[in-house]
Amino acid sequence: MEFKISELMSLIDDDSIILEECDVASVESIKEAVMNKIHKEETRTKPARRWGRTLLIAAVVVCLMLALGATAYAVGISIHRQRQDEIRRQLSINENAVSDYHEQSVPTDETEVHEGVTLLSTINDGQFQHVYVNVCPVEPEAVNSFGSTVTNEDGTRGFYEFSFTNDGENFGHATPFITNFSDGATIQELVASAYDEASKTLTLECACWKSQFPFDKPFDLTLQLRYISDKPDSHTYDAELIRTFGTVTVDPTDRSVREIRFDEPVPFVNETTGRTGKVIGLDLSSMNIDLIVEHENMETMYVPSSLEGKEKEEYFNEQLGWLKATDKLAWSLTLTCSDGSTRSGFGIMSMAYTDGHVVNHCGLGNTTINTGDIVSVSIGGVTFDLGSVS
Amino acid sequence: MDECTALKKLKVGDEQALGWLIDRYTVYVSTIVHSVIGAAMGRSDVEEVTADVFFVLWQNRGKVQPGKLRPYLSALARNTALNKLRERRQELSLEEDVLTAAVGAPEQGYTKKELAALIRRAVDALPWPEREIFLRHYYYCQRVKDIAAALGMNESTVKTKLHRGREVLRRSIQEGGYIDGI
Repeated sequence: MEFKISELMSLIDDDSIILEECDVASVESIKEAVMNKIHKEETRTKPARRWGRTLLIAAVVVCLMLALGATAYAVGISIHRQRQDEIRRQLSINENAVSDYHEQSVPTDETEVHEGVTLLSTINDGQFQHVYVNVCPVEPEAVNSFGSTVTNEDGTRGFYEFSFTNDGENFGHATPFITNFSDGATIQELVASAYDEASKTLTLECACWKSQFPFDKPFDLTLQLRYISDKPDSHTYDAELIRTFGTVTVDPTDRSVREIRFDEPVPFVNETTGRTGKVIGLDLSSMNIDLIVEHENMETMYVPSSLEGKEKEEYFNEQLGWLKATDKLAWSLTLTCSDGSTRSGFGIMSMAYTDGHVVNHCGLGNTTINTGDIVSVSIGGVTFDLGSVS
Repeated sequence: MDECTALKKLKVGDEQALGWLIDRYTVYVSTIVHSVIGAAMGRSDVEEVTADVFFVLWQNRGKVQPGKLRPYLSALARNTALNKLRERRQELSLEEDVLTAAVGAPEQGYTKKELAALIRRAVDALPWPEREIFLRHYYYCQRVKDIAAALGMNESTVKTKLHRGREVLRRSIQEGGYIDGI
């Protein structure tokens, strides 16, 4: 197996070597650049305070545009930058001081039309690299029919799918990045918040699973629009390629983990077998929680193929019992932040046996947490002050 | 103001504290950044990356622990500079950066934390000057000729000692087993 030493070195820090100092940066210019970045960032993250003024300016601009015959597309920041701001807000990147989120440099000139795929940002949740892209051009019909099935001439049913792939054979399902979660809205109305009709640009999220996409080196991501139809008389389907938008190279981001191990493991019971397991801790990262548990037979959590009949059924029931018990635990998990607010309602998305325990992966959905701000954890009726755990 | 006070103030969003830290650490950070990208990029790039490092420090101000700022900045400077190189699609010029090691099965895998501890132990096990040469080259990305000049050695001596360092690391990985995610 091959390793890059320079990448292995990224796992450690060092301040033991005294390098020969060089005068290559002016303190004042660094200070000015940093302060500019901070103030620019603050301006971008506080839209509410300026809303009234923004509306007024927008109204004036629209009047001017109408007077001058300009199009809506020529106003404001580019759709790429606009979407980056929306994703950042939706994921609470600034509020939660998320360092793992990587935003790409995108064109800011609103008059440029960028057909194809524009990479906006990426974040790693341990199981998936969430890759946010703009694709263009997307016709309104494809957006309006998203989530609906239609009946084909031959009586079969089909639907449009935005797909992503790195090998042309295995496809993932890209989902519109919805920012407008209003109650009672139809799926089309929700999807509309990810679509800019003026520039025919749709913002998509591609959740790239680590089993298919390498997390240790850049990978190519190709975005397509496909029409998926049932295949008559079979359980398979036909996929017709409608359009390939293009390919971008994604540099996977790393994930910072806050490892919490309980001094006293939390016991829990498999109600099928009556046996006891234990939660030994949590790994927190900005976009997911790994619940670390140990129990009997965890190393063979998938039913061995050698088993058959009643023996197989019993084994299956035991493993199902562990799954139900850990899922119940995940739902009991509450994280308390330093300001007293709490986060809870985590379900297990996937699990794997690794490093001598079962890692249960709980996703946070389209949001993040500030891992450094969690001051206590409650699980299974036991509360841990994080000052008392290692 | 001392560093502990500055970090406490930084945590609550005090820009003056950040300014104090920039005054104190600009030379340290920019020296590391220059060490990584100086051969490939100019002064303005070094300044840009150095500013990025302090901006990330500001964004992560709640996470930095007193007493650990210097190694934190070192790793941040190094990794931000490497990202800059990747953005420009430029490669590091390092001696035999790829290490081939026979490793075990995935079920014997390491967590990243365990792997970091293994790397740390392997590097710390090197005697002087091998350790310094290894870190200068693979961590700070200094060129062989610059290391030779800094330590008053000839380049072939530096290369020999880098070879020994790689062997120690290779043995540590092989004895340790499989590494997941690297």
